[in-house]
Amino acid sequence: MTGTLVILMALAYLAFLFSLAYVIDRKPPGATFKKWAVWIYALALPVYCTAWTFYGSVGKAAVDGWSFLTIYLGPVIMMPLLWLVVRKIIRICKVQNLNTLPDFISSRYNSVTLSVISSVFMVVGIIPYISIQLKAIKQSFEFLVTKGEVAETTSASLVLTDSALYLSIILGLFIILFVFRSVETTGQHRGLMAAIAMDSVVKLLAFMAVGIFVTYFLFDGFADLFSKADEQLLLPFVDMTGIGGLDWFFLLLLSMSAIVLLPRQFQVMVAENTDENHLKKAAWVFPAYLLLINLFVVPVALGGQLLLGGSIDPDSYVLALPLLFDKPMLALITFLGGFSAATGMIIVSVTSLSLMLSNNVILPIIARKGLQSSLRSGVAVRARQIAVVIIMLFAFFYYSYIADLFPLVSIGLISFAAIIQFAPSVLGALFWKDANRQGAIWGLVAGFGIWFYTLVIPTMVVVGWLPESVLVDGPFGISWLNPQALFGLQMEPLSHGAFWSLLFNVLLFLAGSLSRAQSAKERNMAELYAGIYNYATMRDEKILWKGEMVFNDLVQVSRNLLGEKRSKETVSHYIKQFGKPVNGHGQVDARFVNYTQRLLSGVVGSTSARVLISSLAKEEEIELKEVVKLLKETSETSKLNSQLRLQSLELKRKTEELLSANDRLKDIDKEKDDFISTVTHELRTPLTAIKAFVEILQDHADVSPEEQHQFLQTINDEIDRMSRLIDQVLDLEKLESGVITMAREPVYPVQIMKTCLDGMRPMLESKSIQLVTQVEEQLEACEIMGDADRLKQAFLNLISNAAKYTLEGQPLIEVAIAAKEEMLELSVTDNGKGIQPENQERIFEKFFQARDQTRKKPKGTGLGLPITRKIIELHGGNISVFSEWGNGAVFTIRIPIYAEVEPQEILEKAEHE
Amino acid sequence: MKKILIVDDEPNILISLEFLLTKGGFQVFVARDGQEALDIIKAELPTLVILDVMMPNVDGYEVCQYVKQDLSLNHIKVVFLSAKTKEEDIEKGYALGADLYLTKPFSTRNLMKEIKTLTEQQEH
Repeated sequence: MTGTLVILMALAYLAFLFSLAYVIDRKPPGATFKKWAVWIYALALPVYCTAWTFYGSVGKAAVDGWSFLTIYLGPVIMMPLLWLVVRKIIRICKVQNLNTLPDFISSRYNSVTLSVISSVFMVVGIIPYISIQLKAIKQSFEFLVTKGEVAETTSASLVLTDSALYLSIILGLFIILFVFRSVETTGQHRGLMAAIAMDSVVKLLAFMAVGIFVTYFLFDGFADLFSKADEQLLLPFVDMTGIGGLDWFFLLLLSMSAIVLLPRQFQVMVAENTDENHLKKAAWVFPAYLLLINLFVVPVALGGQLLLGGSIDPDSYVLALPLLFDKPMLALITFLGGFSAATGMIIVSVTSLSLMLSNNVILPIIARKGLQSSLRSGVAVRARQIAVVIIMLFAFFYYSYIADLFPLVSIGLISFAAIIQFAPSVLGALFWKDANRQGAIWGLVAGFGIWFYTLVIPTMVVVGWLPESVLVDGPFGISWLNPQALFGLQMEPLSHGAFWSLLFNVLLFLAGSLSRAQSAKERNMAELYAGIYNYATMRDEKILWKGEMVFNDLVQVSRNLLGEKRSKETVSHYIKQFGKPVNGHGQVDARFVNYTQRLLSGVVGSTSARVLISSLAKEEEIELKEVVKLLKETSETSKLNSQLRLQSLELKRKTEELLSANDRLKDIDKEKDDFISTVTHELRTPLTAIKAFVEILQDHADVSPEEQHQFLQTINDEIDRMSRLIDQVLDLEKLESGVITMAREPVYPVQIMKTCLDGMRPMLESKSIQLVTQVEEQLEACEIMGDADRLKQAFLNLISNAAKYTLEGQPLIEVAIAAKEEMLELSVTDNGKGIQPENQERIFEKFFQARDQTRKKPKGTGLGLPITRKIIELHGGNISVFSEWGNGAVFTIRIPIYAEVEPQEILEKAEHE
Repeated sequence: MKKILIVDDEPNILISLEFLLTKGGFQVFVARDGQEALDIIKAELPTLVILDVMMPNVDGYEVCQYVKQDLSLNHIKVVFLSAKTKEEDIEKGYALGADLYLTKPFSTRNLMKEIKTLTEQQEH
């Protein structure tokens, strides 16, 4: 394969990424983008998987067995903690407008020194890591072109070395052109994120393609591959003694911190996060991704050893296998996969590092007194671009002189060990309010010092800058200072370095924090960080600031950095929200100072913004008691807020209750209206007849005596009808409202029924209605608790109803009484037309007869059945009707049989007597 | 002799009106529901119909509407006598073409006067 082709492919791929980023950046984020944003976010996190994963995992697996997995297990362990730790970091960074880890730390500990130190440490720690990406690209490129034959003579080939330089330049340009175009830096790099997500997809697909090729094409699947590998090859996977438990522990620890704290991870996970909820998806997509990309690491490692043996560097197996087994296209795809893994890492890391370098080191120098007027947005952007160039240059030189001499993994792990030094101060910032600046500085400096001494010095020995004796006898022959055996501790070098650096880091962090009180301002930030969820909606007024400042100075600075238009917008936005930024004494309001500082942080970073603000003002020392007062207010506000929230919830509940009560009332009202209008209608009818006949009798002297008698009888009947109606309306009203209490005494329903029937007999006989009764004799003595008069009323209603509807010609009424399941059943049957099924329930409604237009005019008030039902219900029973249309109707009353007198009632009875 | 149809499902109202109108010199027909009323209207072509609104089967409104929309019947005067006293019920009656809407209970004297006026109108 020719170098030109490979270079063209690589350039084409880069061009593709560039245009993807360009297109997405140009378009405002529409609905489609927002839908995809969560996936882009989740797929940007695998920027964690670099060329080291792509090539180095196989190399590591071939030599050390399973230990390659540790750096993926750590992140997986971290996933459940994302919501706890990363969400909090994201929230703080959003509220405070922070972009990078040094920003995050220095803002919490309120220290410019810390900002500079941590930025420099970060750059120093990560540059080797970047350089191994360059190395990986160069190696793979060279391998592809030469088919691995001249793999060991790289340094001789100047042109190839130059290609890495060109690559550095191209990637640097990408960052300068696409990432740092806009002045503001927070969460705005949609194009970058999309390109990174694309990288993730490409490298995964490419690696899996190689894995499948090796497992299923070069071998017959996993089983075949593993059975062919002999004991020697499988030894590292079976025998775990190669790597101790302590080493596993440190590797897990390092990778757990790396997944959050590495600049590129912090950039995509925190700074580019647009929605905290995206973390939820990321928490399973990312581990799934890691599982997939590691699926074929062992097969490829074993396959490489079986087929290529020791002739080729295990780091190159991924590329060598397709290439040497005549699959040049697959090899090219593989190369692109590794290329994308490396470029993704470089782009994001350099972006983040150059922000740190410019915002925390270069700009604060300019921002100090005397120069701040020259700090314009152009300068801020230029500083970032310069930082990009510096970092790319350093990375390139590190690669040229040092990285080439070490395997990918070992250099990567050294960077991990550097990054974990930030863990104590970050965790302290999040969860320990008493952590302070002194502790953070002490811890970081000690940690980095020991890191450098135990892990970087040895690499210098290997390169030849330091004599080998340093690693054998210790520096100057002092053996307990041996960088790889400090105080005589014998451990695997990485664990050794991590152990000592972390130990001193944590101890000094604790000692420093405890040995000195926090400044008031720092205390302020400590509360804000640890309790960020309480402050999410109120930020600027919660940071104390005291001093004198000229309003125009502040606005001038903001204009310089944000531009005329944006600056005006922000001021008017502020005024709209909070009122005048200047108080009655002509001094700038503290809230406005904080507001502006936060906005400036988005452009020049929090450190420079802080430096700028203090250069403009005569700041006064804040006393601790003021902070305490503010915090107390805050916690009171917070308490008040939660009370308010509870109260408003309560209010909402009450409102809902009120609304439903109102609805009920409306229903009742409507029912009442209907009822009244029906009652009046029912009253009008007899009234009409009465009035008519009265007028007839008044106006017509010639009415015959018979007619006169008939008319007076009618008047009388209609008056009875009216009074019956009125009685029943009042009766039902009383029953329904519970105004009258029914007697509760032992009564004998069968006897009551007999009395009723006896009373009705003359009426029934007059209409020649046949009455049939079926009563079991022993039920005579059956007792229930209730009201004899009311029961009588109910029974009479049923019987007279039945009498009204019996069959013309052969009228028949049947009354039956039986006992079933502790209920007394009384049924009254007529042989009339019966009731249509759809009306069988409705006949118990008030005035149903009157409203039912399909029947002949009602023969009663329309209240008999409702009253009957009410009475029966008040006796704890129920009434139902069974009817087949055309075959009469059976009304059945069921009342619980009274079994035992309740003690309470005996007592009451006794008292009555 | 002019024919008047009384439609109501209340027997006592029918009796009283029948008595009055017979005394007043009309030939009186009675119907107990809307369907029966329509049959008599078509057969007898009365001068005037006294209609109750709430009746089984076909209600008074429907009878009125039928009469007033039929060109051969629409000369027949329609007087509603109803216990429905709401504004909208009365409006509905007039909207359907009724000549008069009286609410129950009504004055028989007034009713007779109105009927006289309405039946004499037709002669002109």
